[in-house]
Amino acid sequence: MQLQRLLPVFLSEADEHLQALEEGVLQLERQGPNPELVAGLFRSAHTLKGSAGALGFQRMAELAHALEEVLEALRAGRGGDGLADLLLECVDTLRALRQEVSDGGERTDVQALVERLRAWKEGGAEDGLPVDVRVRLREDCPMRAARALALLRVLREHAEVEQVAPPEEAIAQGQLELEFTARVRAREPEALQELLAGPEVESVRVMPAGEARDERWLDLGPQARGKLPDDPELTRRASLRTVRVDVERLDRLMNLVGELVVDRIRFQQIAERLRRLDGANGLAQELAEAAGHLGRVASDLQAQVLKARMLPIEHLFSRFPRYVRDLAQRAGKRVEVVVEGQDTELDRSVIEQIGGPLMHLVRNAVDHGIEPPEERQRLGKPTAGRLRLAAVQEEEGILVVVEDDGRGIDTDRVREKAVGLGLLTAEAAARLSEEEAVELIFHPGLSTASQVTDVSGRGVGMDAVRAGVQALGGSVEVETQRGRGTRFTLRLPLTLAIVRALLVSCGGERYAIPLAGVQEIVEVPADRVHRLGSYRATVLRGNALPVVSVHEALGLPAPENPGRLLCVVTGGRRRVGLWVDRVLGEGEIVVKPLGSYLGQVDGVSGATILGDGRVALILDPSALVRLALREEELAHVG
Amino acid sequence: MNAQRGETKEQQLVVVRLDRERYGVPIEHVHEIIRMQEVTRIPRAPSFVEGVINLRGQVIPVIDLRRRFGLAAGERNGASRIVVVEMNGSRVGMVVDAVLEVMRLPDSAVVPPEELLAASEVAFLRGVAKQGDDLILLLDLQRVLEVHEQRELAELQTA
Repeated sequence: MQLQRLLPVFLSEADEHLQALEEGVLQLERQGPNPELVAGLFRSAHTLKGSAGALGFQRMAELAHALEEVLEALRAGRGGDGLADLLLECVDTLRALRQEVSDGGERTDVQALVERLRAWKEGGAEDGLPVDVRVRLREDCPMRAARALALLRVLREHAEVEQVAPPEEAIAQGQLELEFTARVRAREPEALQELLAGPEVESVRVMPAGEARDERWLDLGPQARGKLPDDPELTRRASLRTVRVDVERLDRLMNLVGELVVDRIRFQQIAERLRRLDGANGLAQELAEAAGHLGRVASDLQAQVLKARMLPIEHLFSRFPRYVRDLAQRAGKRVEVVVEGQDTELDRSVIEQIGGPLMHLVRNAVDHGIEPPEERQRLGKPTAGRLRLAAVQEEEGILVVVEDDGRGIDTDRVREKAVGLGLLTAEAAARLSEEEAVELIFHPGLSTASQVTDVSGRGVGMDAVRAGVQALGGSVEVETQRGRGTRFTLRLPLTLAIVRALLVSCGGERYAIPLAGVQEIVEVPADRVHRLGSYRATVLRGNALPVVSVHEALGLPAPENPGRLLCVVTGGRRRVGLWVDRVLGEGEIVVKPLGSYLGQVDGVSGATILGDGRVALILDPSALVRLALREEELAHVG
Repeated sequence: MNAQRGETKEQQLVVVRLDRERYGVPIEHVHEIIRMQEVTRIPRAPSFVEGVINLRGQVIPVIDLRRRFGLAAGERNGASRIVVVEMNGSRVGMVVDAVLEVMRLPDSAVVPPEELLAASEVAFLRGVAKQGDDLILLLDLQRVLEVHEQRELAELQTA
């Protein structure tokens, strides 16, 4: 019972600590150890060890403990060269354990890893850790030089003295104020303090080598570990007034708010009818006012609940430095990741769903975009490629940019491939503009990878990226310049829970079509639609446009008299004219899932509740285009 | 739990009418009973899935039990109800001709359906109870709501 209550808290804290560890290790790898960084890492490992131990997750606790010891050595001044891989492996294993704990129990064996961590630590102790020992004599100490030289002798018995400042000759000649500092390698640097203490000695300080001037270390004894007194992060965290809320609760709240909005509309309708019944009575007016107020409160409430569902995109971006590091290492490349706009907020469902597409773009950039270091050097570029991940809020939504400074998309190769795959004739390919040729990368099955790596695989499609983003009601654009790089721009809605949509009626049913997928609405007289076998098309500004009714696309019986309005919807580069009877309006709709019972309904992305309480289906434009064109292809074959 | 502990084991049922038969739905699965309302059709769904409705802000599917059981379509009137049941975490509405009563039924009154009914009728039943001259057919909700097998069947037939 206790465990069940504590587990969710533990898991989400573990996630935070693991993330902090990973980020810290990457920073360690880039910049080398610095006291604040190592102290932060130590804190995370320490907390993780404590809470895992408290809940009885022995393996996690043991591994975190071994990690803590390694960090301790690092903090005592041990160099961290080549340690990053081992530490990251630790983070990965802890992460795996965290998942296992949430699934029911620890399974991954940690023994081997713990041994390796210990070996690293022990290995360090044999050489001895380089530390600086600063000894300050008391002012009334007689024969300072002799005393100092005597202390150095003691020091030599227990440690290897590499350097003394001021130098021993100078001390022997009397050039000593009150302090001297020795750089030594010692098995147990902590013991030196006691060893050197004596009546003539004012103080002995043992510091990691090279940190002698950093005053922050002075107060740090073993008791103080993990408690940097002036750590701004620590104070900031303590003062945050946040509460963890189960996402399901927010979803339920969102549902209830939606209901409130519907009720408000009904109130207004009732008030309107009342007013017509007895215009003189002020009661109708009062009811209308109350309903209006209810409406304002409801929309405020809705905005607040939506806000509560937002998360900074940092939750997603923070995974990438590590991911890119591993990718680059495998590909033998050097890549520097620049992340911008981490604070930009998005609905958590959007964040959950763009992870896949973003990873794909990043992987492509590292694998195919950024050149190997030698090639970059030859081209006069910095050897490390630059991968930029940025998020910006715009009025209507969020822009997420994935940009590299690599070789750009080779449109000639793309054309060649498309022709090779039989997607286009050579003549048609030659006629394509540069932009159109670039767009080909979104065609299923086409990949520009000249070599197949185990990461990118073969032909893992950009079409999946585009489809994924479009399913969210967003879009993907690409700009590329040969030799200079490629930039993908994802336009995403702020939230999935609410989208702007067109409300149409067709055959007596009402449907919502997300505006992101609607290109335009045109009126086309029936005689301008031509029947070609079983499929129909019209000509729109010189281009053929396939035409289907909503019902045909959905596989429902078609209404007898199709309307004259065509709603032109897009899916990737392809478009289709959807026949609708009437356009009822445009507005924001709250998106609801159809639920697991019905499963995936082709052509439908969800449902929404209209002002009158009825349910309207939300059409998925790209799926409709796919469905409509598949039927067209079949018609050609038949 | 109760049934195991108690001396007289019994179950509580919501009794509904469909055509001329009385069916029992285990009360622990009944979430609520609502009046008939307008249903939005779902494309490409099995024929017995009538569509979706708005249940206080939640969109839930509704199935037509008559069609599910292969009965003739009935007239919808003021007595028609949607029985919302909860099964395996999802809520589903079932359209019935009327809701008659809530009753307690001793387990001893239940016999396997095969003893009293033709084989074709027992697919959705977990038992039959005699009550005076009447029979109450006890629904096996798991099978009634099973949608996938039905979908596969439909695909086979159209292929």
